[in-house]
Amino acid sequence: MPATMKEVATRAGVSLKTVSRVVNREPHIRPETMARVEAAIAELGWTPNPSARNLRTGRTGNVGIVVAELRRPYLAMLVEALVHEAGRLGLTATVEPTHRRPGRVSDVLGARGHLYDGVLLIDPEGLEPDTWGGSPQPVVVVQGGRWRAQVDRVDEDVVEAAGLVARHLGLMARTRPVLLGPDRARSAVDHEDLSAVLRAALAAVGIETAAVPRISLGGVGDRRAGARAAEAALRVRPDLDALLCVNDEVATGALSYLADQGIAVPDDVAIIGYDNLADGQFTTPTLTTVDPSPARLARAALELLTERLRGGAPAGPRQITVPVTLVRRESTMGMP
Amino acid sequence: MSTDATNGTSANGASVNRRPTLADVARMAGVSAKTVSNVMLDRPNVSVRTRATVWAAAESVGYRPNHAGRGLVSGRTGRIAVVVPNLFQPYFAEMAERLILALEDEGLTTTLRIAGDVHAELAAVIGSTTRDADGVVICPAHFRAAALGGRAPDNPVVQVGGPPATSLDCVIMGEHAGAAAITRHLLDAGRRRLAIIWNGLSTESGRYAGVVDALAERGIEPDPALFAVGSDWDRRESGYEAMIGLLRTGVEFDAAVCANDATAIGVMRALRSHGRRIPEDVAVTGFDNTDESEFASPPLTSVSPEPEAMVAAAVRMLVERLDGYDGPARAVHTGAEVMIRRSSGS
Repeated sequence: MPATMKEVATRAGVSLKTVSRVVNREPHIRPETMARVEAAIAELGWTPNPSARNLRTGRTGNVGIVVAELRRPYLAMLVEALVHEAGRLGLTATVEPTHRRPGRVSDVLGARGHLYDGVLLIDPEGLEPDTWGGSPQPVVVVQGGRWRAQVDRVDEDVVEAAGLVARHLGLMARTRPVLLGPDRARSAVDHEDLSAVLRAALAAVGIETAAVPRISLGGVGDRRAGARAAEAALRVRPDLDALLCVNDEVATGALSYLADQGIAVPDDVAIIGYDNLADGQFTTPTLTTVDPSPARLARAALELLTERLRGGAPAGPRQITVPVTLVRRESTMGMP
Repeated sequence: MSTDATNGTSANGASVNRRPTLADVARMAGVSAKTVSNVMLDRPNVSVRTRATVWAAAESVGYRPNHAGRGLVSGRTGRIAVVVPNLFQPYFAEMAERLILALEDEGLTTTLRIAGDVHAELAAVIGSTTRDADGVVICPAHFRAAALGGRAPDNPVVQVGGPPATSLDCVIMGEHAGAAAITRHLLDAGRRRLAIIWNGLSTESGRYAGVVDALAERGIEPDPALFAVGSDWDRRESGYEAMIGLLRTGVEFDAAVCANDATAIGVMRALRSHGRRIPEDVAVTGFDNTDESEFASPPLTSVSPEPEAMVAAAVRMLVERLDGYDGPARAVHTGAEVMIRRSSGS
């Protein structure tokens, strides 16, 4: 049974009005009073959010978030955005890293109903469950990539991203790009390394797509993999003039390798990342990147989830596509 | 309730300093065992008078709730709550990940909670937001064990990092040793004017004391003109902001000792955008040994707080508590290793 505001007031030995003033951070409250009320709130686990009450009626008030791992900064950032958004709606969140173990996703999906009101699944690379279970509790897939899952999903607009990146390459007069890591626009219908979407976008700015190599990262897309992939890219195509990286970690690793080799970025090679990690604002040069807007993805995911919880959603799966932005910085444009 | 009774019994069934049970408390208080349990678990619908009677009875018979037994009673499942303040700082994401894996090696499942402020941290430690777990491992940001004010958490709690806690099992990071070692490294390399770029919050930490003590060993007083902070803490922007401010004062320095890697990354960018060469003009050091430090340009000298050792000690203490160890709170000190890279001139 969730605690009430009255219980908080009783425990703290203050009036309901005082609890409300503390919660709303109103001025002129004595620090001792504030401390007492806050301690009572913490002890009772009270959630001071009226909209939460409605959502929570008869439920756990808890959302499971399934993610491959936490040491990838973008995943950490997305998880944090989801937890924050859940909290705004008065829901608690439990993070379940899978570490790519089979069965883990199904375990979490199976805990719907007793541990979780619903589950948010962030693309756990290759761990798409065989069955989504018969549970009526909702599942929302966030950035599901190549998944075919017939459930609600939220993705960033990868078509827009490919278009923005290609147009920027064209404007910067780059004609010999190499991909480091998977093509983010690759969907379940693509069988080639390069998605139809990216081919079309590159062709539109006059880049010969048949000649665009792709370097496999051979595992986790981290900085080390980025440095190795940049080295491989230069072997495969010594005259390359741009690196299109699957994420900012790979881009940062590539940047570090090129700096070691005395190859000038962007004079010799332009680098474009993806994810808009904070790191990219502080590298030298700063990193041009695609911002998939984790905050917007999180808001959309929780909207889909809470609509299902309220019972107000249509039966069939829904998809929300969130717009992206290209963050243009020094790694493609040079110092101002 | 039988799980309580087995606790003070040796393998052959003989009673050894039999530990008081819930039933003893119930007899003494003149209430049912169920009522005692309700009071111990802080469930609602028990009168204030009954609560007081039960607590008094518990005290007089020397009863302490048995955490492991309680887990069994309430049908818990070996689930441990891992609590971190955020994931945007790579240190916390790494610790969370390592803790989850190490706990799973012990056959325990985990649930990760992000406690974004001191209230959320306190609620997780006390147990009001971690009722679905048998134990808690917290990497605190603002939480201080003193805030418990003598209240006993519902479940075993181990604190990893943060200020030493006397009332909780805790793992104390080698902050002082690490910060002192990295400061000596700069002094040994001939740097004399060390700027200290800090996160305003924690000049009382062992980390700060390590820097100051290492300077004192060489007879150097910290120069207030060389101390700079950003307007918040632990972000790259904060380091950038602090260094821009310092550069504008015109003060001279040949090194920047930074509170952590994130701060140092911001500091390096600020120095480079103002034409200072790293390490020729200014040596820079961080703390935490994040992935970002290794792949910075130039790679950043940092301190590894030996996360493997911290996590191993935390998991060991938690498992001992779950197995029934009921002694006083313990503190395990772990070490620190300086990772010398090009940013400090080597």
